Amino acid sequence: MERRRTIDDYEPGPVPPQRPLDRFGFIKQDVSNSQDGLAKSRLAFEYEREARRVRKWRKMIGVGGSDWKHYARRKPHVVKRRIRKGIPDCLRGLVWQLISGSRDLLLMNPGVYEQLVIYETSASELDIIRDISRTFPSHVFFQQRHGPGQRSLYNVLKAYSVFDREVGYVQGMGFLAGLLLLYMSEEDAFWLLVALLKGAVHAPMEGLYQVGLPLVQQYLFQFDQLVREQLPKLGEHFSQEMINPSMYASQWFITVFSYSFPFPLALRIWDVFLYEGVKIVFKVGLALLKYCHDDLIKLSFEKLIHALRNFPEDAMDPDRLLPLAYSIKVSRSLEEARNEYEKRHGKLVRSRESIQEQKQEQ
Amino acid sequence: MSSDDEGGGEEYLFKIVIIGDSAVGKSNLLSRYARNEFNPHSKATIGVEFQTQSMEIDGKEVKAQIWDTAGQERFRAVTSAYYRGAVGALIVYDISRRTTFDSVGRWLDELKTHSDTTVARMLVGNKCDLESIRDVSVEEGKSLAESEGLFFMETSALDSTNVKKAFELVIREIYNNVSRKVLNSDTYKAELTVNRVTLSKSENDGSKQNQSFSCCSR
Repeated sequence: MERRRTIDDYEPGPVPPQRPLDRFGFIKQDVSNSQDGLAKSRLAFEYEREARRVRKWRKMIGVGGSDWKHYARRKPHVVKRRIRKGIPDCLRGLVWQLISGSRDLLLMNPGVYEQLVIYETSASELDIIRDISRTFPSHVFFQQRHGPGQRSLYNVLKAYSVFDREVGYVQGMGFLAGLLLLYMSEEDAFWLLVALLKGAVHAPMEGLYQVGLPLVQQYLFQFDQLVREQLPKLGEHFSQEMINPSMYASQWFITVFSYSFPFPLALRIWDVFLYEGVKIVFKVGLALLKYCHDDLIKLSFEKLIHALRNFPEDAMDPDRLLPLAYSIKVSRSLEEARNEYEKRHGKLVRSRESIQEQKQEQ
Repeated sequence: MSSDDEGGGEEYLFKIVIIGDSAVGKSNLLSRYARNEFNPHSKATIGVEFQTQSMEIDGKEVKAQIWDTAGQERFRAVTSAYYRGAVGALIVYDISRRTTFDSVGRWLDELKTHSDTTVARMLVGNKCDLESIRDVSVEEGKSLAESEGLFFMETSALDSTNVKKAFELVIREIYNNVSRKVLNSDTYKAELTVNRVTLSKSENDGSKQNQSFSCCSR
């Protein structure tokens, strides 16, 4: 049965859709039924190519992922290259769990998720409920009020808010969880969230959601430095127009591009993000700016803000944008920017303390 | 704040922030005002959003640069930076949810802490189309506004009630603040404070007076 499943036999879901959906389950924005011969033959060609890729991938990961670790250790470069080309959609859920380290967490913690969902209560329950219908509202799985999608989303977020009470629930987490739930079960999605935020394979990302959003601040600072370094003209233009990354890039980091980017692009970014880490978010961000550089540099504040939130369609084509992103090197600059941030941030904390001391003295 | 732009007439640019608890309707108020759109399935705002809208006062073009902020407390770490330079603020609560009204005081403190200039402030009780499940009375909203020196209006982004009015009142007040600043005498300052709440009344004629406060008092 496993072998016969290809990318085109997606399941329509519990409710018969009233409006046409795309292949990922989102309601189509523009309804056009015209599919000419050219598009059809291209589609057939792509399916064939996809089928070949699926076969390769199956061989690589083995049954249920049994060969994965062995393969990844022996040929990390092959794995990296293949992931950068995109994980086949029908294997995405499984592969995400393998590369993120969440599968191991799941196996090490039997029954924990159930305990969190059923027996614990969370201070964030009302906040979560309020946002449930505001997470991927145009996706068929999350549309039905109190339907299976919304219930799973609630459970995962509630479980996490209990699992880490310091973080609790923060808006934005829902988009991560929602994206994961389209590819795996509740329990799997929960552990993948844990793997990401607690840092199973890469540096922990819980700082994105902790009080003060410290990691968001750090990432934005680093991104600002990268823009100035790699796109100096644009960086200068941004300074003149008083644009800073918090105005357009907060969502990129807080939701790892899952908030407002076209879904096919978000998925491809997540493939690489889970394997290579947060670097890809910086690279994609820079690639977007680079791709639109000549247009952006001409715009003044208001139009700039608009353009930075509404990139043109061709810029968001994964096969165009991602190769550009891969070509940008960021590791060294990221490291330097982080050191710089820590230096300044340390000072900032100290100066705040001294202000408080002064206040107390008065 | 005001500038002569590209050889045209005098132009004003005002920065305004919309603040208030999560899910009170801030983003929909802004999209109703700026684009006349309402989205019942809108996503929660992450970080900040931005729109501009222009209006004419005394034959001058006045442009409002409006920042819509995420409501969840945790996000204040990134949103409070946007209070700087703001000369107007809409503090929004949901008339069907008392906790959002109880938070107004905290939002006002937050605004005081982070803003650096005179701010024209309006308290906005949104979702007044939800009369049947109202949790905060018009009088409560009005008296809080009076005691804090705020303008007050109940609005509905859903059916458009008072949305345009609320924004334009704030913009007009900022405009007045700015043009009065030129005189900058103590008597004017005193008058300004006295006029705070009454100004919204004097905008309408007597018979409509109550309507400006409550959209649902029919």
